[in-house]
Amino acid sequence: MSASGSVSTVSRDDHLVLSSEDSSSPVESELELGLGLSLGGGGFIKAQQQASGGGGGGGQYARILTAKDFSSVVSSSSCLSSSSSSLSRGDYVAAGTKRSSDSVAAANGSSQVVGWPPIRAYRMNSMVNQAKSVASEEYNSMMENKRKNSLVEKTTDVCSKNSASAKGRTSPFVKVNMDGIPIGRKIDLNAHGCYESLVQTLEDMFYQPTTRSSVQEPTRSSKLLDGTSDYVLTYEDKEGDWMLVGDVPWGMFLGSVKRLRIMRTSEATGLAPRLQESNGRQRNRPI
Amino acid sequence: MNYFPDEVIEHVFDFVTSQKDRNAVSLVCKSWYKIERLSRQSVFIGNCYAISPERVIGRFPGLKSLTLKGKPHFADFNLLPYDWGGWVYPWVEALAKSRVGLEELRLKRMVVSDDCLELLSRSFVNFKSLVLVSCEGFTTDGLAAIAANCRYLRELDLQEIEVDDNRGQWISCFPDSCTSLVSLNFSCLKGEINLTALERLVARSPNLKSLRLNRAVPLDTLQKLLMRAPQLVDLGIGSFVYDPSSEAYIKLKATLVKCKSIRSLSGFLEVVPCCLSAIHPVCQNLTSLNLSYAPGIHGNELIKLIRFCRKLERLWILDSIGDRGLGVVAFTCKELQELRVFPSGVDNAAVTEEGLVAISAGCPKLHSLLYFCQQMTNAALITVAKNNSNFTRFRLCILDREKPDPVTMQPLDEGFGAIVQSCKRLRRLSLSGLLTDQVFLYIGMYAEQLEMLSIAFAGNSDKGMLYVLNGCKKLRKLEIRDSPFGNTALLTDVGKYETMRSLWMSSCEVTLGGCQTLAKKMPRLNVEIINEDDQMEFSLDDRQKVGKMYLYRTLVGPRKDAPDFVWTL
Repeated sequence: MSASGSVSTVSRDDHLVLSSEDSSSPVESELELGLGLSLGGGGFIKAQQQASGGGGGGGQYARILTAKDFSSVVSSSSCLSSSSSSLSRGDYVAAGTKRSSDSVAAANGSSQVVGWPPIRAYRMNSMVNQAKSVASEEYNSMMENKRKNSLVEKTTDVCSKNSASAKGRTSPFVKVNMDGIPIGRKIDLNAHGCYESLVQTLEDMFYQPTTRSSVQEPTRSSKLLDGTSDYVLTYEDKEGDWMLVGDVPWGMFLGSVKRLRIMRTSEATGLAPRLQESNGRQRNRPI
Repeated sequence: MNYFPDEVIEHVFDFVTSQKDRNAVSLVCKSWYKIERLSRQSVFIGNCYAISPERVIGRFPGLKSLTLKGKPHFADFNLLPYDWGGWVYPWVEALAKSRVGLEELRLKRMVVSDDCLELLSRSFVNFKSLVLVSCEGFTTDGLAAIAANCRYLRELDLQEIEVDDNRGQWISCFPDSCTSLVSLNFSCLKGEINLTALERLVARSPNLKSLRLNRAVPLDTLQKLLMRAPQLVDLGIGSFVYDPSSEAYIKLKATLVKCKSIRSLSGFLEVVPCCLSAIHPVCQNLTSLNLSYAPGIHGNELIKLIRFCRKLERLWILDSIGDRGLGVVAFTCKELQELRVFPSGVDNAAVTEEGLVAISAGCPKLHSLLYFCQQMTNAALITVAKNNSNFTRFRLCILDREKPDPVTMQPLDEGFGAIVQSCKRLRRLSLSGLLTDQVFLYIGMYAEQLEMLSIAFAGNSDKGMLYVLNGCKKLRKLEIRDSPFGNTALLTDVGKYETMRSLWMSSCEVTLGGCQTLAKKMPRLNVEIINEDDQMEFSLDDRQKVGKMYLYRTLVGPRKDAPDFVWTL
């Protein structure tokens, strides 16, 4: 899984967060998620030390970038707040002074770090979901502002762990299950630009000898896409229908896929091959 | 020194119920070990990788109830990659193969697949109770299997779980012959539910004491369910939205008055705040109230509700209650023992040190606290410590990382120091705010009963961590993130880790070399390096800092199900 976000380095002197590379996709309400060797404040120091020491790889620091990072120079609060380690605490007191004046803003997310505040992912998700469905108008408008500012940022990394909400994809990760293997995997669809790449990765995932599965490993067969294997690759689309992968353009597939399943060919009869021909909810597994 | 026949000793052991005590008993002599292990029915495994299912089954063939915990605590906050581990399938499989008559399975932070639930449902004739907390990996298909196949099911309790693809038909899978339900909690399910099937299920469950509904259960169904189950003790309301002038409301009001046994209330996942007066009669008997998923209840409506809850012992609330609301709690809830205040994410709505001080002054029985707040002062914490020395759990989360005392601009060392010095029975502590090594000196000195400590963005040097490791003799779980503790701290007392369940360190200063040294010295620890970036090879550069390290004691060596990105040294 490649880091799809920007990498920031920190210059302690001017307290600016500089992006070392441009993000590849425009920032609308979408957020970039970059992963590196370490997430959170410690990475600042690593980046600095490695920059000055000139050695070592993996000194990437990454955090969840928000729309604020791309709009203009970020306020000093966001970078210093998450540093830790060998910087003297005096610096932090100074930063604290600055920050306490807009502590509300800061608390509401001018600097985001994975896993902070320490709220269970489930609770984070329901905060966002409840914002969409509460009846009270007053609450709705309040939460709407909140959601735009920070909740979505806070929960994006959470959403990446879960299936996309019914309202549309909030993350590129989809679950993949293979018939006969009790444990599923997750895959980052954005890391692939085409079906071949996706299938290759899936084959590597599921056909490698794994020790965690107690089920007999299926014998390696030829590619999933060309119809000669014992399995076919299918996906569930937004309407709940199971479709064969590969029939629609990649972009359209990305927009409608909810999850993937590597299905035994014997069970894959009757799948609607085209999005337009779907005829209502159809599940292959009995409820 | 057996003066009594084994049967008598076994009978005596029946009265020894806590696992800790039973473990102690089993160490007395070989004979007692044997008697104890053959009679033990309930086993708690705090780390599923510390032991293998086969060995557990071998030692406790009479096992009826198993509790397992999988992922480390910080996994709750997305600090652990998805596929790290914690699969319960091997356990269920091993139990199924053995002759264990499993009746109860309680899992926390584990991965549970539908196949696993299916296997579970088919393998144990007397299976009665399934409790899943913060788990993942299954869909309602798995629940359908449990419903359909567990003929004597008493308890199905799902807490804080994202379950896939809710279609609501699983509830229809309970056969008509199933009349044994005591507890049913599906509040976390997101999708629709077959309401008729639910009503019929409740109607044929005379022993039902606990029912927690999801948001798809509308008010009129709630009213029907309450009519059928007036004996409920614990109720989780799904949707509470309706027109206050409607007949439905009047009916519900009347029905609720009849439910005199309700002691615990939660939910309100969808709510119209103006119609809560129907709840007021229930409030006066409540001992437990969880409104932390009900952002729709706030302001004056919330305070009105609280004023009725004089017997409350446990309160979970959102910070939209504000300091003022906490003042009302302090005034009203004199029996309060546990308080959790979660962030609502709402601008301007938050609690500060004021609310906490009020609570500590007003609620003398309070001993368990989880408090997310905007700010905290040393003076407030010192006052809290003076007011209340009963805390066993004290978890404070100042939302702004590394925020100092806003009045003095000082770190919060003195405040937390006062807490640990005053609360001699403190077992669990979570720190936040600006903190130096000094706070750890205090913790090491005073927190003699401390078992679990959570540290984030705190400390200055290795000394901090060393104070804790040296001082806290009863420490079992230590989790640290983004703090400047390195190899010296890690390696000074390697034997300590065998006295603990686990240590988590992420974004600290420990290096690969340090971890390797530790792993070499301590073969009975699994030292796992978790590496998320696929592209990074496990280079052999000892000086490289480790992003995430999780180590735990184990009797069974490196686990065989570790994914590629986990390297057990």
